[in-house]
Amino acid sequence: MNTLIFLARHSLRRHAVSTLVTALSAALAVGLTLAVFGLAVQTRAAFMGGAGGFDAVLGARGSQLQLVLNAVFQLETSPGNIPWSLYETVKNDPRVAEAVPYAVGDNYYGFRILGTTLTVRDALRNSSGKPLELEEGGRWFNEEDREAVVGSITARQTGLKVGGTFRPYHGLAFDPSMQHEEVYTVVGILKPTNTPIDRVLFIPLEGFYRIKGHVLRGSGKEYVPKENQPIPDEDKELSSVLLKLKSPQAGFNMDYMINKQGKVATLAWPIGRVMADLFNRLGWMNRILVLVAYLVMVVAACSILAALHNTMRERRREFAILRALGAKRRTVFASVVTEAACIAALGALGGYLVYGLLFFLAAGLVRAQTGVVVDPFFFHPALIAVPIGMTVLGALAGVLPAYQAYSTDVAGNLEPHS
Amino acid sequence: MKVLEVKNLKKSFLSPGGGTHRVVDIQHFSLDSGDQVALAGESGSGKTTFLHLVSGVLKPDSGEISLDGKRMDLLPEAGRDGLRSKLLGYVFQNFNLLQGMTSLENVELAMRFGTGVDKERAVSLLKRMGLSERLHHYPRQLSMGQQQRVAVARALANRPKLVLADEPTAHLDHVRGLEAVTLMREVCREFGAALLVVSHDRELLSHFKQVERFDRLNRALHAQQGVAS
Repeated sequence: MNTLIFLARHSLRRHAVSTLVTALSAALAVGLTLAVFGLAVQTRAAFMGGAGGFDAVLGARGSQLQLVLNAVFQLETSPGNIPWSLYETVKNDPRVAEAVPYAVGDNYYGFRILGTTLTVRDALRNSSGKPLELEEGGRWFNEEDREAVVGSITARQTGLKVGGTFRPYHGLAFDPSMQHEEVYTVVGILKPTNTPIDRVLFIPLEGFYRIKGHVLRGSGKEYVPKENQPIPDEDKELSSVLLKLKSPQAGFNMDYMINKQGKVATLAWPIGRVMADLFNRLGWMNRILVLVAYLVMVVAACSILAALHNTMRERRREFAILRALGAKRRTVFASVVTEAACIAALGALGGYLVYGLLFFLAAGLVRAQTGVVVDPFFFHPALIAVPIGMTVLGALAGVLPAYQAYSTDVAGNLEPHS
Repeated sequence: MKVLEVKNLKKSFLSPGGGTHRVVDIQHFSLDSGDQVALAGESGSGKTTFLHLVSGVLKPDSGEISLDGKRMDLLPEAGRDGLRSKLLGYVFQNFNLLQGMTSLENVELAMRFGTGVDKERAVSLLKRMGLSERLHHYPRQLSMGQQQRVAVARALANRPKLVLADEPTAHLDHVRGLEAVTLMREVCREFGAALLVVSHDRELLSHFKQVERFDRLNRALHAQQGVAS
């Protein structure tokens, strides 16, 4: 084996440029394949586990997926609103441990504004499962005042700081012509949670209702909140309610009660299953990406074959010399296969760098778009299997050139006959 | 003790126009341990083919080749490769050093196929050849004479019983050629290896006490001359 490595090392050094170019193509192939596997697995895990400690989402009658994407991942539009009375009912249900109301409909430069109560402070969790923390000098809002607590990404990208003020824009998409008159003061910035709430602004629910232009339809009729008058509960409405349940059995019961028997609302439970359904439905896309990545690996292996094949003619004398020195045919064959495998293995090592770069870029994009953080240091069997697979493919690509080397006529290639 | 014994050795090649062309036909040839023999012959007389047969690179059509008492002609190719690496050293006309390897690595390479890498011995061989300052030089960085000395060191790497040298002075000037042959003879004597040199260089041949004319040895040439006449 030492001799094979010795021969391969010298040949690779001698054909350094061709080796580098070929290894680079293998590196790109390995990096791409690892990124496809890694991002698919990590994104799925991040989205399925990104419910911030909540078990279910209650919302208007409609799609469970839309409800979860809207309430948990801040991605979709709200399927509609539910009356306050329903929130009161589930909040007081003995099967429910915690209920956090959300009202959405405004934004600040595209970052969603969530009207909620202070229950959010204790109920939400960061990606490590720990309670939310505020940056130094911050506090949570007073429910009676126009105050806001801002997520870390929102603060960084909008430049909002504690003591700063802002005026919300109507709607979920940013439209400069739709700015509200009310001025909110930032009283706290959340430390990064690595969840979608890094991309929101929390304001008191009462204040949200009272923003000029907001119309409530909790009772079925339109109600415009009046200054200095309490808002009747029957007129209030919510976009969704995040629920923590006391047991899985509670989930089964409530699912049956709300989704099967009821006609007013939808319970998305469990959140992980709803997201799993989404990823399963998108599975075909991932399979195509994996197939493309595999094809790129095969192309890289073909480039190794071509690179070695092109040098075989000029290397016939080299093989003849090796044979004349006592190398067996199988040694010469194995040395070329080893050389091909080494090029692929070099590429596989480089593939980790390419993977790191691709993952870094893609993870940044996912975080910027959703707030979800994918872990760059997670382990997945593909991290081992793909580089090994590339090395094996490379070795197989070396078989044809190796056969050419194996078949070299020794006497005819040593030197001219005298 | 005979290091090399050849009996009724025949080798033919296919002719371009069809049929076969006999290149080697030697009834008997032998070398004793420590012998230093030169085979004199013109280009195209079959000397290199004879060396390839003796070294097992080519398989004879018929006849016997015994190396240190072992029948080379009866062995399969892999066996001949093994015997060649252990019992023979080969100095080629063009030296045939591997260009991507240093002097030291070229010598170690031969050891890898024979007795195993012994760096100390490889270094001492190169030093004996006067190359102590050229151990880590690549062939392109060496003069022709230095390349030839590396080739000799490589031929002696596996403590061979017999060193074959094919036109060893062909690429050297007169003075360097004589120096090379003298050194080759000295080191073969020192390391206990018999030496068989084939050449058409009269100057080189004059340094050997034992010179055999290949055209007398090789009956294939007689046949050709007979046909021609």
